Amino acid sequence: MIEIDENEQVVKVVWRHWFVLLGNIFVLFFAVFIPVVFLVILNLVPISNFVSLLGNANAAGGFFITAWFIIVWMIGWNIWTNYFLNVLLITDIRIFDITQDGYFKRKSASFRIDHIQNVTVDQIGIIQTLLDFGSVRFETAGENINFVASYIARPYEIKKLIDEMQDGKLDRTREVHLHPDTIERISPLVTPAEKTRVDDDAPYGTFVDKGL
Amino acid sequence: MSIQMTFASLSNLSLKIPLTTNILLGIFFFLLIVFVIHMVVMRYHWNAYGNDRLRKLRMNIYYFIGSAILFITLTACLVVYSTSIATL
Repeated sequence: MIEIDENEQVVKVVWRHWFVLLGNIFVLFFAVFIPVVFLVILNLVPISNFVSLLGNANAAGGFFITAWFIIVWMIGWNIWTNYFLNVLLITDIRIFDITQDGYFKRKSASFRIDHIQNVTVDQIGIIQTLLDFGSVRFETAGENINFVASYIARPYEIKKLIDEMQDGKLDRTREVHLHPDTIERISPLVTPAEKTRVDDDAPYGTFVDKGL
Repeated sequence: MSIQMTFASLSNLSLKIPLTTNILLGIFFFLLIVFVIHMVVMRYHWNAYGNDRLRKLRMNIYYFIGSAILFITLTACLVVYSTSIATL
């Protein structure tokens, strides 16, 4: 359901660095051990005065601990889903910055690659440098809108990829203008109508009727 | 110490809840309903917005294996507990 055109091809899907998950993993780790803490408290609190176990105490304990683990399991998958759906999607035409915050809050921003004027990578601090992640800032032309994708893994690779894509588009445009005969070699997807226009050396956008 | 005293005084009220199979069954089904709703919502998001088929497949496998293990354990504990009530 990501709003990509049929002609558009996904070049790269970039997730946030795993370091983003680290804080949540610690929380889950402690959550797993809450029953242990609870059992210690049970020794202080005479719970048997309030609840009477009619059957096997171990089975009852196992039931409640497993029930708790299922809750932690669901919380864990929520965290993972948020991580999984927060992506930077690079296609051959556009970049999508998709932010998923919980299940019912989703933001999808997109901008064309040829509108990008500048790509800046920010790696701040020893952790970001050592683990190779950081923010990538895209400055777009015209609309004066900047997009910042934070905690991106291997941000310099992203910058290089976008630079190469932009250079490729630029080279293609230049070659088409300088050597119209090479248009087929550069862009095999060019339509016969476009080729006719170039062959006839007519100004771009002029309709050429070959039948006349 | 004061906590223990508070609980000791509460115990004098003789508020004792018997942990019957029905209570555990209630908890089990409540958890199952929450789990199913959560699963439907989460898997909808995976299918609608996820864009890596291989990763989605692996996620599904881990999710279902883990969930199956947890629910089998939960059911086993419930069965053992209810059986032990019946035998006592």
